[in-house]
Amino acid sequence: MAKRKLELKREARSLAGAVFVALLLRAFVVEAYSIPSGSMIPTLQVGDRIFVEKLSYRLRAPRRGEIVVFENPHDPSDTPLIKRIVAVGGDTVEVRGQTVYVNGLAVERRPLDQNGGACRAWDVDEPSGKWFEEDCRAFEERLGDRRFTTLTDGGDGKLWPAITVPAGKLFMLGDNRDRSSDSRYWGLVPVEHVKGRAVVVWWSSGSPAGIRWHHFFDLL
Amino acid sequence: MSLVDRYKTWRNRGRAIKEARLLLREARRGIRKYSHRLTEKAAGAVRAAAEELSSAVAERDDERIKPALNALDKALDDHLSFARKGPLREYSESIAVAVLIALFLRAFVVEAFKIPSGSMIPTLEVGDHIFVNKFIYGVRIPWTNIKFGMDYRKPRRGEVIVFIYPKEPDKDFIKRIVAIEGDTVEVKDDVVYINGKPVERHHVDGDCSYWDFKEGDNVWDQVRCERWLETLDGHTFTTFHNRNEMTHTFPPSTVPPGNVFVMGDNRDNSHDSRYWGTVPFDHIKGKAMIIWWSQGEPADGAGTFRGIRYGRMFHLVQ
Repeated sequence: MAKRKLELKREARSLAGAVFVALLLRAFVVEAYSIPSGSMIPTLQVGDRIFVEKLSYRLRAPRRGEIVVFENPHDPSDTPLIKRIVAVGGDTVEVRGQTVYVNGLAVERRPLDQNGGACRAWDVDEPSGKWFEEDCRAFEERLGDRRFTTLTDGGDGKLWPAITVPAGKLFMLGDNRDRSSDSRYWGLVPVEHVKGRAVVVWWSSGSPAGIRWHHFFDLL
Repeated sequence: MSLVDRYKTWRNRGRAIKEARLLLREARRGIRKYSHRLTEKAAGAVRAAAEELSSAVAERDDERIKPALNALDKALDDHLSFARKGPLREYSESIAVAVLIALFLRAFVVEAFKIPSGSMIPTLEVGDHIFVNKFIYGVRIPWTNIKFGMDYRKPRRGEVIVFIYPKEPDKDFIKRIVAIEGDTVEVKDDVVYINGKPVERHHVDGDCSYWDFKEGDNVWDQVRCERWLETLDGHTFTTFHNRNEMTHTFPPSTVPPGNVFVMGDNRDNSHDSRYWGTVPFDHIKGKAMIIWWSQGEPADGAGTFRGIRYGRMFHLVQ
């Protein structure tokens, strides 16, 4: 009897230890998030699950082109946001139409194919939660050594007059440029609000495709 | 003579005199224009009939006017029939003149516009019909961007204007001027700053929602909002901000010379200078003056009857 009790106690202790280590890992090393909205399509689809690592930014500053999770500037208790860093402290940044200028140079951008990048994308309507498909135009952009794909709806884009980003602030854009509420709308994000760097998609599913196998383990 | 009879006589005389004037003008013009085609005798006959008629008119002699009218009419038929206009030509000419006058008024004096979208709610609701003053900022030659008399009265902050959307010149937009040339404009957490000074605003408590028309889906949608009262250069107006939406920020920028910076009063539902830049003076069509008709979903504080918002009619656009 006494032995079994002791065993149970040991078991419970190891379980508690495991939970503690898991919480520690989650708080300081890596955390899982799911993507609720379409602002980062095509890089991240609605219903993607990703890992976010939290160590790098303890050692170095966030860099242009990285995808980061950060506190919602409107309400820190609300769902965090995920966007791509386009300019960091000391950079000048400007957006004219669909073209982004960093330090006076246009971010290189060209249609993904000969058809002007014509595409279709599935997104979720925010209040109703309904899936819908819409026309888009896909462009390949190069920011520093990073290449990624952005979408527009063919519209006029959103203006952001040239500013110099103060030290300790970041300018963020969603890859789905005309379906993203980002720095162009609510301004710069303090570096302290960044929770971590998005690293990999470990699960991807959502209507109408169901499980998107080809999207698994996409590195970000 | 009864009062009615006296009225009838007076009315008939008025009509006859009017007809006489038209006929006399026709006769005079006919003789002058076609003197080379008229014989001395024919011209004399027309002239004599015209003189008789004008003296009858001058003396207000009812007994003489009627026969003199007929005589001149006959003289014109006899000698100047080739120059007389048929009724069809008379009508089409007067319609053409009316159309020309209407086009002139529309181009240079006043033009009617219909509000298709909700970017100016609550000042202008979807389905409001307004009149726009076309000359206050100088007149624009239609189909060109040439304007005259622009320095006479420059656009001012707080005024609601109709202008050509610079990105798609076949579209007209309506917004409020927030900043003018030389101003530095900034939006920080929904507060507008002009030359560093915040635009005065007060939150208005109470329920706030509006009906917006989604152009893409063709449906009406009720949106919940926050109501603010803003005062800009003596203009006091209400602005709406969507409830639970992130505040808007736009970094400081200077409005170039000859341009204005415009924003919709429905701040979170307006595609304006914060998105595509400033509006050049020569794109401005005019200043919104008054709502003369309003039809659509029930709107803020306005009674409706079968979709007609009579409560909004004849409101000045402040």
